Amino acid sequence: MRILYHLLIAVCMAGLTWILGWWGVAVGAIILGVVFRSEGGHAWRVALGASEGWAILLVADMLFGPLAHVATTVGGAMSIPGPALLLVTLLFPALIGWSGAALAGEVAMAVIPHERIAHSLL
Amino acid sequence: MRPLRLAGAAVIFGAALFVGARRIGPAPALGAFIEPAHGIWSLARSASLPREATSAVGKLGARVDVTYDDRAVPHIFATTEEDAYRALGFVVARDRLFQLYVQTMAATGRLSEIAGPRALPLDREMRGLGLPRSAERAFKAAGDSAAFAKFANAYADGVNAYIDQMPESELPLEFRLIGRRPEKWSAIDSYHLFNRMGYTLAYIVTETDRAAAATRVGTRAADALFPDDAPIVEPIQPNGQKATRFDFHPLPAPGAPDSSAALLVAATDAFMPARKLAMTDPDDPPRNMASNNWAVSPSRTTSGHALLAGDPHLDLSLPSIWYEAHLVVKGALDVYGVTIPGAPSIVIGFNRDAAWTFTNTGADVMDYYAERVDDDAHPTKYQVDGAWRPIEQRIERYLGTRGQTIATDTLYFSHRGPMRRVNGRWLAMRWTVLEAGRELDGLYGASHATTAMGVEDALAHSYFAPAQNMLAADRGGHIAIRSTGHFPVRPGDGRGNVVRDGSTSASDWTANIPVTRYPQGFDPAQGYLASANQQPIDPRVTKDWWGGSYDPWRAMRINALLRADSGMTVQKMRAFQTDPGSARADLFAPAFLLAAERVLARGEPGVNHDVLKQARQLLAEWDRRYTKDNRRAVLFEEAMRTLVGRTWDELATEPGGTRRVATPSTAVLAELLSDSSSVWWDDHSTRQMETRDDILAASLASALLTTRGRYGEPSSDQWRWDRIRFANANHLLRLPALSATNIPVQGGPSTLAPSAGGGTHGPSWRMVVELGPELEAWSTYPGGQSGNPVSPRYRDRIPLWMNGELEPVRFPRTSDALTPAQRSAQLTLLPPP
Repeated sequence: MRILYHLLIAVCMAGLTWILGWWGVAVGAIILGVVFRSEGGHAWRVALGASEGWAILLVADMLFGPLAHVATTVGGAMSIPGPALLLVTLLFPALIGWSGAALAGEVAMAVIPHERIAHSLL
Repeated sequence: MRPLRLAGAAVIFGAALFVGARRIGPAPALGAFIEPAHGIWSLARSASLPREATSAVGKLGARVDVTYDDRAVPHIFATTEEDAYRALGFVVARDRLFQLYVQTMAATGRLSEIAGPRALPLDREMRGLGLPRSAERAFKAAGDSAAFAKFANAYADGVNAYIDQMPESELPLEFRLIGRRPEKWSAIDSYHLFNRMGYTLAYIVTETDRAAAATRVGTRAADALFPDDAPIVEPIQPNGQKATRFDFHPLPAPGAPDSSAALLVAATDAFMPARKLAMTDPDDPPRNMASNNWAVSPSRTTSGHALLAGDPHLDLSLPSIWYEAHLVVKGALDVYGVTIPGAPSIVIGFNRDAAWTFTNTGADVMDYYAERVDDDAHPTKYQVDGAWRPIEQRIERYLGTRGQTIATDTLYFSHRGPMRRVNGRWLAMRWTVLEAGRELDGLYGASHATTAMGVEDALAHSYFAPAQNMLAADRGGHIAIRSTGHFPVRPGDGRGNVVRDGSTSASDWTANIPVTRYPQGFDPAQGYLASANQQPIDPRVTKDWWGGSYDPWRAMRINALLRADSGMTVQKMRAFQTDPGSARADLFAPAFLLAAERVLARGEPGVNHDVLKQARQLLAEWDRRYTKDNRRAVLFEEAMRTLVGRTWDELATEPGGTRRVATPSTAVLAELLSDSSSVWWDDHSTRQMETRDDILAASLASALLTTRGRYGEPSSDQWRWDRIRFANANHLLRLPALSATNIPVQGGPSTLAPSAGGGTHGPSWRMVVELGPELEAWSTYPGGQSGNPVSPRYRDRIPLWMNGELEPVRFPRTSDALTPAQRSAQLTLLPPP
């Protein structure tokens, strides 16, 4: 069940990114942060899901082209190692995911009863 | 609610959003940049062209099929020429979008919008010379009906169609790095591009160098050091000679400095400060925009067909300046070759009947006039023949990277061209480049010509600048060459290397030299034609003043090779393009050896005999070839560098300094060799009076010490030529990771594939064509068809180019003539539904 939960977040983040670009992660983090605000460690889960979502997209890129060559070339152009660029790519959505979900969860907890949100969403 | 957690999350979220959305210094906004669906990682998906693709292109009259062959060359099959050029615009944009953008920014003086204030000097030079203004005027004058204007508009349609439908994943990496988007292409951008080529190729340093030398050693000596006519005669227009002619004369001794020459020097400083700055490195000799071409008549080929070879030498860059393409319109057009991204034309190439290629002519087509103005500080009028004429003013605003104004200039123009205040006087510049604008009409005509003379005549009709030595050959076995472009006729003595009085119209150019007097040759008795930026015409057979800057060495070498072989083949032509021999080395190396021998024989004290003896021995071992594994060329080149410095010490900017106000050509140095006791040989830093042999021997001995100090013992691999000389193709943004540097090459200064200075200049395209019943061609260039740095086609041709090899060109008549193995991708362009 937990794996499915993770997968759902990851797919959700990948989909939002595909549609909205990187802002999709921020939007997704806020929504998920509000929805799952009462669950312990929800922000970390969103962070991990965001990272996984982008990993899914990277795998998709890799299936269609030379991803390692892109890492080396772009990293070289920016004077950073290719793996570091990859690492930043996986950490950046995690950062937005965690902070966005935590922020949204805290705010939601303060202003909206959990049940109302759940009802409105379901 | 947990306030600490809330605050922490808010800060991190805000910071992440900020870093994601905003550029910080040179770093791009991180979010869009690294996001894997549309950011840099998505470039992996566009690294190779899709096997099949279809796009709609507005204004397209009918379907166009584009087949990319296994060399990634697009073969465009259209039903009208306009559609063919629309498709060309589309495919060029698809492969080279950033190059189109940055070239236009450079040509229009807008680089500071990308690079900030550090690019301002270049931008000011472009606009200050009036290059964008000139393009605007030419564009307006052409109207919409001229052939070129029509195709330039069609080309723009194609570029813009690609930009409009470009998926985000195909946005070139460079745009992402600099945080900008491509701009819409306009037909006028093609005019800007040609003006930029004129800026690169039609500026001759000789008159400025001569003037700078005159400020040191007087006019008479300066005229001899920077002569109008090259002392080594191997002209483009055949003159019947069977060997190179040496018109050597003793050089007059240095005289009293001529301060009046300073105005001409200051004029160059004022009009082209950025360019002047780029050319003052004493170890990076002035770059003649060198190129080679030659053609051989059927009587001297084994196949019995005419052969043509060409390799224009330009700045090496990634992506390359050239893009290879083939355009077919049944019954109307079938032309193959290279285009410059942005040019709606094949620039160098061939059709089914004829082939053509260019080298730079290098004539003096720029003059200065001292204008008389009404107000020295803020001129509004200038006087000609006693009447006041209005000065055109133009305000130029320069923008920075955020769109803010970083500088504003008021530019002034007389009827002659841009004006500048120089040494307290107002000077105007007149330059053929600023009066051109129909060059692509000429190229359009060439692409339709069926004979070599047809190519020449089409180009002579409307190609004005930068002047080129245009070589052509046809399937009928004819070969032809003509130095084509506008060459002004000046009043009086006709010389263009003085500042003329602008207050009288009698100073103005009276006409252009007629085409019949252009240097030219057609099916010469010698059975071949060749040009390599040498003086185009024997001064004994012309009264016209050309005033160029000429280098004879490559011409001597290619003429020697062609004279010696009456059984020319495609393979030999290809091999000649990277021939390691050097006429310059053939002349100077024996001079060093002989001088060393004489000095050693004299046995004078004060000379390190052991060093000189060893240097002589090492140089004697040299075969005078610049092959990659050669271990002696380095000694010779160091000896030459030292010789130049010691000989021309009269021209040093300061006593004992390495910088000179100007450096005479090595052809003039060769001329000086014939006068063993000329005062020019004297080294002013010593008490005694040196002779030629003293300086040659001392330079050779010194070169050994320097070379040994730098590279170790002569047997060391560090002396190998491929450890010392490299070609460097820099990326357009000068990013090392996207550049191809330290490419070992065969060739040295003045070989047919020259390698000098920073190695950033060299053969930018190589082509050999055999004009048999079915025309065949071979080609390559240093780079690749794709401008996408992650594409396998970005630099795939470099190994081939580096080894002097060529690939056979595919020249299909129909879209289905290529086998599946010969195809790499298919693009179908459709009219809008």
